[in-house]
Order: sequence, then C-alpha cells, then structure tokens
Amino acid sequence: MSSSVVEIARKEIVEILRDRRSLYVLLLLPIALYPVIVIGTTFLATIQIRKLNQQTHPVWVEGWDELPDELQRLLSEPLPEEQDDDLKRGRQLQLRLSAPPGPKGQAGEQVVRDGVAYEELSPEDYYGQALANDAVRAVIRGAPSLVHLDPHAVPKVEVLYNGGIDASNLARKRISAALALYSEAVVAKRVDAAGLPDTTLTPFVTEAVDRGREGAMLGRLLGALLVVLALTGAFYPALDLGAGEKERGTLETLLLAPISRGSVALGKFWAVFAISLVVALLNLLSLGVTFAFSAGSVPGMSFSVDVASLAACFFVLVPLVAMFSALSLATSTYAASYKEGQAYLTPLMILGTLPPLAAALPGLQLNLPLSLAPVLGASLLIKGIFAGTAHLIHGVLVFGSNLVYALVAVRWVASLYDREEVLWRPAAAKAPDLLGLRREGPVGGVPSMPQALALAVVVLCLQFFAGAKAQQASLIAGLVFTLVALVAGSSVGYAWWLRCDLRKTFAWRAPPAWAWPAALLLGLGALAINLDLGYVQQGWLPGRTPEEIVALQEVTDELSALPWPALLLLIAALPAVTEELCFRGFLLQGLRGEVSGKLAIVISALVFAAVHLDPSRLFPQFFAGCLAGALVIRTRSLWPAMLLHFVHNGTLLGLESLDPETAKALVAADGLPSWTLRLSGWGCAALGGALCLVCARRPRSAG
Amino acid sequence: MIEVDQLVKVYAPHSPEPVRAVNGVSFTARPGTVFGLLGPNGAGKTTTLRIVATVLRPTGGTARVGGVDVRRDPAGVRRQIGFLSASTGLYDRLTPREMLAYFGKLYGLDGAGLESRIDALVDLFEMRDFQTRPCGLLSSGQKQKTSIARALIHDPPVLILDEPTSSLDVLVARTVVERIDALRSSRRTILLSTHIMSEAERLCDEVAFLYRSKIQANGPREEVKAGRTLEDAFFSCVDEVDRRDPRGAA
Repeated sequence: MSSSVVEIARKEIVEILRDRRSLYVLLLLPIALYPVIVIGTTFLATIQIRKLNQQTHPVWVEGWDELPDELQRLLSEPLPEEQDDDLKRGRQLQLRLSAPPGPKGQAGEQVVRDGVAYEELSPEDYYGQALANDAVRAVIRGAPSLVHLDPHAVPKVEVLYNGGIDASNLARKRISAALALYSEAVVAKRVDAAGLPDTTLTPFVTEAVDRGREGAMLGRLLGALLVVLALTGAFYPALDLGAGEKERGTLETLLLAPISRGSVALGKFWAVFAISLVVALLNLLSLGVTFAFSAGSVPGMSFSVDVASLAACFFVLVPLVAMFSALSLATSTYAASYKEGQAYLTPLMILGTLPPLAAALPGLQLNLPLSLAPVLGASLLIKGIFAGTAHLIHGVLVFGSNLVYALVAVRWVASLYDREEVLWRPAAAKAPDLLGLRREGPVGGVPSMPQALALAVVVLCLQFFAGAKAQQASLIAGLVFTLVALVAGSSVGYAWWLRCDLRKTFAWRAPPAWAWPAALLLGLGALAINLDLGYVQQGWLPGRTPEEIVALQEVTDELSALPWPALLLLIAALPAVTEELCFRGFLLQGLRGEVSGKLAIVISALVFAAVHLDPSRLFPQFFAGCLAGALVIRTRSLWPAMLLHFVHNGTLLGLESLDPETAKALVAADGLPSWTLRLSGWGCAALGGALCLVCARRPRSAG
Repeated sequence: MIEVDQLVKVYAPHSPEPVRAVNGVSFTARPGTVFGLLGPNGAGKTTTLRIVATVLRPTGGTARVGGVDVRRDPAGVRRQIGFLSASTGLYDRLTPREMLAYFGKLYGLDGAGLESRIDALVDLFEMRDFQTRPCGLLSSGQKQKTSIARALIHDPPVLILDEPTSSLDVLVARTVVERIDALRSSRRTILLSTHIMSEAERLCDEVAFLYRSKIQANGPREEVKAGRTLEDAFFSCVDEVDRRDPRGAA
C-alpha cells in the first residue's frame, strides 16, 4: 500500500473519530446500548412475569358449585413445581375462581340496570367484553361435565381468554396445566379400576438429548444481527467520506494532490473498512457477551459461546465488511450531496439485511452453491458456527467468494473516482418527473431512468395483483389480458402520456440483415442453455413445491386443449411482442440514457425475470432477458429480440408437444438436456453470438 | 509556464444536448507574471483552470504546465501547481497545522523539512494564534489564509487561482488580493480567473477575455485596455461579439 493511501486513510479515520455523531452511532451503540436493551428488556420481562405471578387473577367458572373437588383444588392451589420456567408457564399463578356474574337474562332481552335500559348480551358476547375489559382473566366453560365422566364419551371443556393480554394468556396456561393434571388423575383412576399396571399408558419414556450447541435459536438470531450490524457499520463513514466530502467541496482540493485517483479511492475505502471492521468487532463482542449473559439469567434459556466461535465469526465478517464498505462508498460517491447519499444508501442497507434475515429462517442450510451467494453464504456460515455445524470447505468458499466480491466492489469504487460525470455531478435539484407533469419532455425522446424504473414497479404490481388473479379466473383470457393490457398497454400508454418518441422508446426500426439469422440461432440456442441453467438453479434456490407442480400441470393441460396455431399465438407470438415492448423497449431504452449498456441489460433482465413471478425459472428468465437485451443494443432494433423470444418460446412448445419417448430422449426427467440437444443448442447460440460480434458495429445508442 | 492550445471541453458528449464549455481556448502564461482569465460566470473560466490543474480531462487540444502535458503526466502537472478557489476546501475537523501537514505529506514532504515549511507558512500568513483550532471554527479570513498556505505548502512554481475572492467580504477580499500580490516572484507563474475587473486591473500583467467559451481578446494588460479601463475594454469586446452573433448573447 502506498504512503499516500495510508495517509488518506489515516486522515479520514481521524476526521470520522472527531465527529461526535459518529462516535455515538458507531461506538456508543454497540458498547452500551445493545447490552442495555437486551439485558434491560429481559430484566423487565422477568419482573413483569414475577409481578403477575404474585397477583390474584379472577377466573369465572360456569357451574363453579358443581366443579369436582380435585379440579377445584388444582385450580385454586399452587401446582407442584416442575421446571425452572414454571413462572413463564404460569404454573404458580394464583387464581380467584367464581361463578360468572352475568348475563342475568336472555340474550336480546331488555333489562334495566341502575336506571339505564340495556339489551342483554349472549354469554359469548358478555364473556368477550369482560375479557377485553380485563374484568376477568379467563372463563372456563363445560367444567360441570367433568363431574360424572362417562368412559364412552369425551366432553369438552372450553377456556376462553384474551390472547392480546399477557395476564389472560398466563391464566390460560395455568388453567390448562391444572386441567391436564386432572385428566392424568382421571386416567390413573380408570387404569387402577381396571386393575392394570401404572405402565399401561406409559410403556416407555423418551428423552431427547440435544448434543449440538446450546441455544441454537439464539445463535441464529445473533448470527443475523451480527451480519446486519456489520453491514450498517459502513453506512455513516461511507456517507461522510463519499457524498459528504463532495458536498463540503473538499474533494477538488484532494484531487489536486499529485496522487492517483485510485489512491484517493483506496485511502477512503481503507478508512471505511477499518471503521466498519472495528464496529463489527465491537458488535460481535458486545452482542456475544450480552446474549450469553442474558440467556443465562433467564429461566429456560441457554446459550453458550466460546472465543473460538467469536473469532471464526469475525474471520467470516472481514471480507463481508470489506465488500459492503466498498459498495457503500461507491453508492455514496455517486451521490452529489449528503441527503442524496442517504436516499441511495438506505435501500442498499435494506437489501443487505434481507439475506441475513433469510438465513435466520429455519430450513435454509449452507451448501456448496449457497456458499457462493453474496451475504447469504456468510450469514448461513455464521449460523452454522453458532450451531456447531459449519464445515471448513464452506468457510473457505464463503471467505474466498466474499473476498472476490469485495475486490470487485473496490475496483468499482476506484473506477468511479476516475469518472468526471460522477465526481462533478450536480446535486439532483428536482424529484423525478414520474408523471410527466413538468412536461419538460424526456431527454432524447426516450423515458428517463426513474420513469423506466417506475414502469417496472407498476408492471410488477399489476402482474402480481391483477394478472395472477385474472389468470386464475380464466387462464386464456387472463393471459391475453395480462400481456396485452398490463404489460404492453401500460408501456405504450405511459410512453404516450410522457410524450416520448415512440419509435425511439420502443427501438422500432428495421434491423441490419444479419440480425435475423442471429436472432433465430440465439433463440434456438437459448432453449438448451436455459434447461442447463434451470438445472443449475436447483442447487441454489428451492424448486417448485408439489402444489405448484400440480397447478402447473393443470395449466399445461388446459393450454394443450387449444389448437396448435392458437397455442403458438398465445405462448410464443403474444409474449414476444408485448414483453419485448415493455422490457427491451421502454425499460431498456429508458435505462440506457443514464447507465451503461451492460448495466441497463442486467437491470432490465432482472425485472423481466421478477415479473414472471416464478422463482424456479429465475436464472433462465434472467439469461433470456440478457440475451434479448444485448441483441437490442447490438442491432438497435426491437424486432430481432421479438424473433428470439418467439423462437425460444415456440421451440419450448414444440419440445413439449413431442411424443413422450422423443421428449425423454432429449430432456431427462430431472430437466437436464441430452448431449444431442445440448450440443445443438450451444452450437446455435455460439453461431448466433459470433454473428453478432462479427457483424455488429459498436452502436453509440440504441435509440 | 502554462501553455494552452486549442483547448476544448464538452460535457455529456454522448447526450442529445452536449455542452461545449470551452471551445478552442489558447493562451500562454509566463513565469514572473500574473495572467488574468477574465469573463462572466459560465464563460468557461473554471473549466479551463480545472483542465490545466488536471481535475478535468480535455475533450480536445492540449495544455502543458512547465512543459508537462496534462494528459500524459497529470501527477507531474499537479506537483507543480498550487490551486486555490473561492471554496476554501478545508476539512472542518482538522486544524490548519494538520491540514498543512496532511497536504505536505501528499506532496511528498515529510520530517523536519515539512515541519519547517509549515512553520514558515504559519509565520508568513500570521496563523500562530489559530493554527491548532479546528478549521470549522475559523473566521472566513482565517480560513482563506489557511487555504492559501495549503496551496503553497510544496512551494509550487505555478499558482492557479479560481475566483479566490468571489465569496469573501470586502475587507477579507482586500487582504487576499494583497497576499496574492505578495506572491509574485520571478520564477512563479500565476493564473488568475476572476470577473472582478478591479482585481485584475491591480494584479494582472497579461489578460484574456473569455466569453461564450472562447478567448475574445488576449495580450498585455495595457495593450488590451487600449487607453480605456479594463472594464470598458471588456464590455466593448463583449458588445462586439454579441453584435456579430446575437443568438448567444447573454
């Protein structure tokens, strides 16, 4: 590392640490606030439960006078102590039993009470009101039926309670425990009366012994918290060093020093990284100790953590923190002001918290493909470390992949410091004109990027709320409605409303002659590649559920009843025209105005994949979107992308209409294409790609 | 010496509406002189200075500082220049002494040499009283003194001043002008951009009128003035340009 990088990093760290706000946010929060919050809330909860246990709680019992003596005793006297979490389970709760005071009359009957006329309530409504007003904690109904139990009948005892009131919940637990003990006593008497041994109903006992780490649930929560907090540690320093420096006007001074732009970027990155890493370490120590301490002080909770686990977690967090430091710095650098930086960084932070939260869900375990998933792999690994299930190979993969992602992100930051349009970008003075109300006219006759993204959100929502419902009501009409009205209609209508140049917005122009065979070959090739991609995706994301498979089969059956030309029109031609108008037309052309062609292709393909609302086809849809987007950029026309889309969908239809034997020979049951299909597909794609590369001249704009 | 030849800068060149901020600007600023780039706001002064200082890349033409091309060796150019603008560019949480030390190190100074250079600048600009106070707490005059000292930390042969008094009150502005005047030396080239004609009248040996992204007049101050005040000469030049091409008139 050059001395100028070290000098810049040192100065940035000094500046951050001299800012009182950053000290509060970065250091005080992890050291003081988290322990106070966790221990404080645990302590308060314990006190509250103890307080509830010391009170006497009113419970109404229908037929109180007829209640069996033993059950009365069980409900009135403290239950025998069982475990150390008896308090939480309400077993020591003191109940004050009595008959319900009302209702006195028949439901609906007019009664006068204290000079005021009322309409008498039904018992259900009366009890419901009493429970809501906290006049009673629980009501037991049907208890008299327990007096003379018929061995051939199973009477029901109802316990009414209010789940929104803690005391009522606790009373319900206490009553249930008493009823369970009474039930056991009745069973014991019956067994005794029948002259059977005590072991009749308990032929053996089971004991589950957890040989894993103590407190897996707490470990899961701690893992998610650690990753989230490690990510958020970069927020403030990145904002200050990127957008903050631009807003203060000190960036120009720094760039005048005889050092490379890369050194400036690296110096800033190291500063953000160092501070974020310290914050991550403080969080790790603070939360680890807090969890271990608080779990030990709460009855029924256990959590063990050792220094080796904490050290391993820190090791996993290092490249993750580096990656997020670089991403945050890049995002902040792109912003022209502090306020703009906050607006950009907040969604990044929210996105960053999704993988750790997903990792905390039960069922998701670390495997080799998931080890490579950014953030998610690290989150699962940390969960595995606390659960004692982590493997070294996963650790190596997670660390290595995150290191690569971090390096790519750092490179991105460095490239931003070399771009004048980013460094000297004026602060956005106006909010995006999503409705075209300012009538300034989209630059170049195509939509702006915010307008393009707004359309993506609208189409996604329409598809989710209206399209799916319409297809449930009537599959074929719903499909036509979705594609024509929701996808194409919204795109063309929005472009018209914004007074865009429709020919430019939808790249509506004749392509070069070579584009047609290229599109044909790519369309044919995309099918085999997508089958492979679909297979690869199975290792990363969960496949279709059995219910989804059944639903899909029903759709296929309904569609297969259509005549062949209609099917081709509905499944191949209509999506090819309508979806291309939306995603490679409006969206791609709108994005192209403000981001590079590659990024525009990736974003439009991601939206294309998301709008299909089929996670099991995410990779293939994304790839097809990229392919069509690249073709539009290369040919400057939407038409070849439409042909590609049509050929892809049409070939898929053709494959499904083959007789089972031939289809099986081409695509195996697990979805993998045969080598014949694979070779022909990849060959077509390679030919089509080569045609594009050789014949296309680099376009300056796709419009 | 600063040599600028047919310099062009186009912002957003691939957008439907590119902005040609500098259009074929040429001039030469010699050592021992103060060269004034005069013009209204938006004429292209700051863009030209930023290109010379290698903060921006030119779209066309060349600029050389001390014989070093701004494109080929930007770091080599930056080593030779000190840049001062209206925005002081100070770090609020550092003290003036720390600022000078930080930039001194970035310019390759260190140890006793750096300390003695800082001491010399602190004395020259009478900064003793506030050298250890955070920059965020300084008055505008103190900030400007610190900023000039920062631009001079590596004793550059070329000084580029971009409207250095435009946001200052009249008293501080007068002090800054006096300081700039005192920075003249036989080996130092000073390139000053301003729209305040009285400043240019006092400081500049040579001037160039930059209007509508082009140099409209260029030469020794008295020659350009031709017996008029500098302000009258400037207005006369602007009127002539607007008369020739009324479409772009301000």
